[in-house]
Amino acid sequence: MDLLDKLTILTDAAKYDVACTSSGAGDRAPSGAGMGSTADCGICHSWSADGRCISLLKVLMTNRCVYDCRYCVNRRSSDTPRAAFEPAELAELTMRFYRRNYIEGLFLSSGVDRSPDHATEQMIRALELLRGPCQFTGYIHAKAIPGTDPDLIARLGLLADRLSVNIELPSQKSLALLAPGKTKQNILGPMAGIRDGITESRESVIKYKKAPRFAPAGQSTQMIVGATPETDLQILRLTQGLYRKFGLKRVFFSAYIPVAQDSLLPALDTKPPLLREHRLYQADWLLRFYHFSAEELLDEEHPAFNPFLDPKCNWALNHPELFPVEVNKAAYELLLRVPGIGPRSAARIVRARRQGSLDWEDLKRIGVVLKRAQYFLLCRGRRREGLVGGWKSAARALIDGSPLAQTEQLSLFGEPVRREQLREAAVECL
Amino acid sequence: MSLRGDFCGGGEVWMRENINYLYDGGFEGMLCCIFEAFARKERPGAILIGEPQQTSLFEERWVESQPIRANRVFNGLARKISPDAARLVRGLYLTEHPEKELLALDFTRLAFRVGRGVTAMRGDPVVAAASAAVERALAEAHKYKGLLRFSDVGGALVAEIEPKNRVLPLFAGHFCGRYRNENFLIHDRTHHEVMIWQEHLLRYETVDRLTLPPVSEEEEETRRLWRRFYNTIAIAARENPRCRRTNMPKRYWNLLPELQPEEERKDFGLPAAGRTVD
Repeated sequence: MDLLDKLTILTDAAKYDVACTSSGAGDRAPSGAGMGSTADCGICHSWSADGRCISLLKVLMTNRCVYDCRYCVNRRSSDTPRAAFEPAELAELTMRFYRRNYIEGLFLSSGVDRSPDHATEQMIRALELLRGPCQFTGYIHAKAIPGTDPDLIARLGLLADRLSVNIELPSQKSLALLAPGKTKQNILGPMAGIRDGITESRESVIKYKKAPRFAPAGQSTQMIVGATPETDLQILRLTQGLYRKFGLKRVFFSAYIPVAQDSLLPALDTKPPLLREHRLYQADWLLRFYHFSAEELLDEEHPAFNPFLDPKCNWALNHPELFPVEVNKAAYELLLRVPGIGPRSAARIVRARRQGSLDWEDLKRIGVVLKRAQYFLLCRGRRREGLVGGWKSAARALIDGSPLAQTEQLSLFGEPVRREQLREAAVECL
Repeated sequence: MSLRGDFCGGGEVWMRENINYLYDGGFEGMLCCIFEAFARKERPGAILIGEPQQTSLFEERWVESQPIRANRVFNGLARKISPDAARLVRGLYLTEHPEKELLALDFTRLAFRVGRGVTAMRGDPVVAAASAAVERALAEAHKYKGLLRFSDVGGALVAEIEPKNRVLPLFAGHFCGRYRNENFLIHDRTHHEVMIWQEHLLRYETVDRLTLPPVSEEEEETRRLWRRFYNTIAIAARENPRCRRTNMPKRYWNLLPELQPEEERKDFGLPAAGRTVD
């Protein structure tokens, strides 16, 4: 089999893995022999036709697999062409792409060929070639396969910048149903091991500068959304728990795309729940950068995200007692809770108001986007000129039109639903 | 202000003069225009690049580039105001802002009036315009850190770009660090500049045209592999052309091998409209 065919098979098999970040490894001082560096902010090198960024060469070492997870394209029972990279072949390909600035590094995962240990050993061999003879000092993300010997994962972590263990599905019950080869314990076990390895390595780097660095860019995980019946609340609580207990850098969500006909799974013609995935990412951002907790965004009475409002707008509209806030006085933490204001805008406001009090025109020049924020702010005690109506009209203006447009399209074939009626219904729900 | 004294002032009333400054287009030249304006307490109508014209409606003055004066302006900003203020003026010079020189002058005046807080005054029209222009340039440089593509030409690497801002100095450190042991050249077609990293030394040169040999078989194969990877990694069920265009505007596309048709041209890659191949 030639390289082009192998690359095609092993890319196709890896494309449902979502993690693509290359940040957080710290600026590795580029010096001495070899090639490659890591940028603290991460760099995207291209965008594919689905609009997702490409920063890493994302491939599997092999798509041969002994497991038979029902949702997976590479499951044992799937009739798909199989291939495997030779470690040297993959190392060389990575260098060829990297040298031309096509990629920021390598994202290496693998099917479980023979056993978790064997699959991991193959990955280690490729990475050892890259870090050794190829003198590659760029970014590497490697998958830790559940069930692998901890010593092998320890070796993997010294070669990679980031490790990840896929949590796959949001509950143990779903896991037992769809991924009979995997259990909660053999996923969370390696995750805890990696966490401890990272902590230990950080401590020894403080003592000895040259101490080996174990997964310096931390660990992440991903789960499939929409294949199983968990609610948004369950998923968000799990996410929060993973950040708190395992110190994860990122939790990724992947809208389930049907790849197999199976009575336990959504039908093949089911559309991937992209809006739901989008809302989960928005909420994930609120957890990580806006000091929100899962319980503030959803509760037992509202276990699902509002499709018509982003989670932050939804939260703000349900807390009229806190708003509007005065731009010139409000604490940074409160500014951060205003829809439309992010960490950057909030920091700029705090910096700029030390030089003099701010008015609406100043806010615009500072670069604060007022489209949503205007409903929640006062400048020098005044509302924005021309802004009339109360809380309800604010809610009406903040409704996200895109899910409404989708509903309208669907209703062409059934009962006609007017967009305005839906908008009103959405406002009433608040 | 005496030409020997400290570089300061800016608080007084200046005359708005019907005069245009002309300078050589270099960074030092731009700083000398600022010096000139402070020395004469006048705000020119425009600061332009080029030789004096006989036919101009306005009075014109040629401002000679003098390193000593340029240094005084730059060091004045860096030491008396803040390193950030000096960096902003330096960044402004690299932007595509059509009136960047006047903006730099207005910013410098404001800086000497209000002091080190000046860069935080994002509500001020001059500071807002200057910061926004610099941020756009930095954003473009960041975009090119990802979207620039090298080709192997006889063992060395060559890339061509068509940026709006003069991004070469903004990403030089990044590429020189990453490809520290390679020899490479980056050609800015818009501003007719090349950045050359050779034997661990960096230099810039002006060029009118760059002639490159045809690509090797290895280079073509690598592009073929990359194109295949690019086309395979996309998930059909999630196709979203608008999202791709938002992140990667079409003006970058002709520089990207992954977006060229499978039957590639035989001459040196990166085909662009109107490109001559010798």
